[in-house]
Amino acid sequence: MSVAAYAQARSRTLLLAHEVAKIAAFVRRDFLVALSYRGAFAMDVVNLAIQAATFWFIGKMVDPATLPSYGGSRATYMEFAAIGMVLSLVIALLLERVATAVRQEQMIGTFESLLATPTAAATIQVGSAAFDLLYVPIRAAVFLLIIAVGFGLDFDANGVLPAFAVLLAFVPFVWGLGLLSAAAMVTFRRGGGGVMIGATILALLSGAYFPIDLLPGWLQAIASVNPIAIAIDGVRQALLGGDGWAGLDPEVLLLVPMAAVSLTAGVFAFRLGLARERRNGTLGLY
Amino acid sequence: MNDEPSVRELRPRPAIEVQGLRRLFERSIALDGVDFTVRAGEIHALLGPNGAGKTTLLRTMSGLVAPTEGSVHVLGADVTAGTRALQGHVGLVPSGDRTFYLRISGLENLVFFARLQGLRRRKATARAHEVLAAVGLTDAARRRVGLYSKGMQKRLSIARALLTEPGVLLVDEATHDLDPEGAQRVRALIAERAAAGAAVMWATQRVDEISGFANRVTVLTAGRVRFTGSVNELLAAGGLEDVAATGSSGSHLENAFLAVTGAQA
Repeated sequence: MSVAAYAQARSRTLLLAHEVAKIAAFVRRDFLVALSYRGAFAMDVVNLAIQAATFWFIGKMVDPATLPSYGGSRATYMEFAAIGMVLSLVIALLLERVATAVRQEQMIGTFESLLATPTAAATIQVGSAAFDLLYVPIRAAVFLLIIAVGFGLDFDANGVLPAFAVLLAFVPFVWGLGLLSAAAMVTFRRGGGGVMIGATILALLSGAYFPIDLLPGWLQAIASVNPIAIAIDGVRQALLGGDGWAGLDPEVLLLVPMAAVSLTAGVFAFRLGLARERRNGTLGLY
Repeated sequence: MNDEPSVRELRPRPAIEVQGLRRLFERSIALDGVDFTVRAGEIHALLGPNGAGKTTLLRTMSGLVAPTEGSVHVLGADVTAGTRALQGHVGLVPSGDRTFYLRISGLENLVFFARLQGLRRRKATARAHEVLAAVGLTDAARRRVGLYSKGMQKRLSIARALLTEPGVLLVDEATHDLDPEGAQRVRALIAERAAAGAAVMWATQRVDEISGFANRVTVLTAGRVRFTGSVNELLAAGGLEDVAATGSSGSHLENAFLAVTGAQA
């Protein structure tokens, strides 16, 4: 490598390091904002407890023989549904937060102030969603723990790390969908509906609340390549199977390329949307 | 604050050069062949009625809006050719009053924006305290911005623009919501920055405030420059006498402004 090329690469690395450091500032900002809404977390716990109680009673009507088995043993409906419920919450929250992060900045009037700083648009998008990308999965784990303790569910401690690994592979997929939705929102102001409908269909075919085997054959074929279904099933295998890492299906690995495609498409669409708004001079409009 | 050329190094050239600037929004013309320059240390008032194109011009200079035609150079750099490096040298005071996070304190807001300017956390905090003191908001530093008055939010906006000691300040209707004392304080802060070498673009519709404050004036109506020159030249262009000789500058300037814009006094 020539001296000039090395210097250029070094300055690029420094620039990247500067941008990454800025993400910490976004996380701190959003942590402080979240802290100012202390009641919100408690309300979420109450809502989830009500939902969990509903599934507890529904579970009394469900024959465990109709549920899939994990690690050779059948789960109760409550164990089966609790994981689906919490992961659905993760998906819904992340999609909403990522999709609306920039829109929110436009609405509260801070977007142009951010763009008036020497910060890359990609950093603003990543930074605006960074807190939720960290906080929502952690919150989901806390919820799952509360439900497990509250309803005496039998989750396997060996499966906690593999379940987190599945979540880690899955979150970028949702992030990408959120970015696609954000691009539509930045461009059309009220856009994002198409992406949301797509996400709802994927959620229906995810087996969150009922086994995928109950779907008609052709829908089962679609569900088998549905990243949401793969992620939920992966977490169930980890937490209910009792075999730790060994219990995970190899198809969980499919999440990695799916997440890469989703994230790449999302980043590309968002950058296109932002460039269009700058050309039109409508960045700050809402 | 970073490795870009300093304002002093760039002084021989005008700090701001706008040439043949045209900006269309769909079919309406917001700016139409705008030309002017602003030198370092100069306070250049941008005068015009509502809808004249002042905000669009400032947003174009800050890189938030791309020109349809023409060029804008700030501190020697073309703002259309990527503005990130330049933005650390340009302080923008936007016209809106909703440009902060209302749920967190003024101090935390400034620390956040200072970190986006590339300052490390400790330095960002120290700088935020300095600029809060400069705009007289030390006592309110830890109060939520949502509890600030409009005048306090405007002062906070100026504090944010001063975080990096910018070579160019673009100020849009900074005194619009302020009482006379608050307005005077803001003008004094800006004048101090200009005295330190910054080029200031001061957009306003208040004709009275430019006398004794601005060095030069550009009058903009319907996206076109109607006049560029000193305050006295504006008076002369309006067929009026030298402001120093006549005393009541406000009404004279208003008449001169109306004369050059073609409106009736």
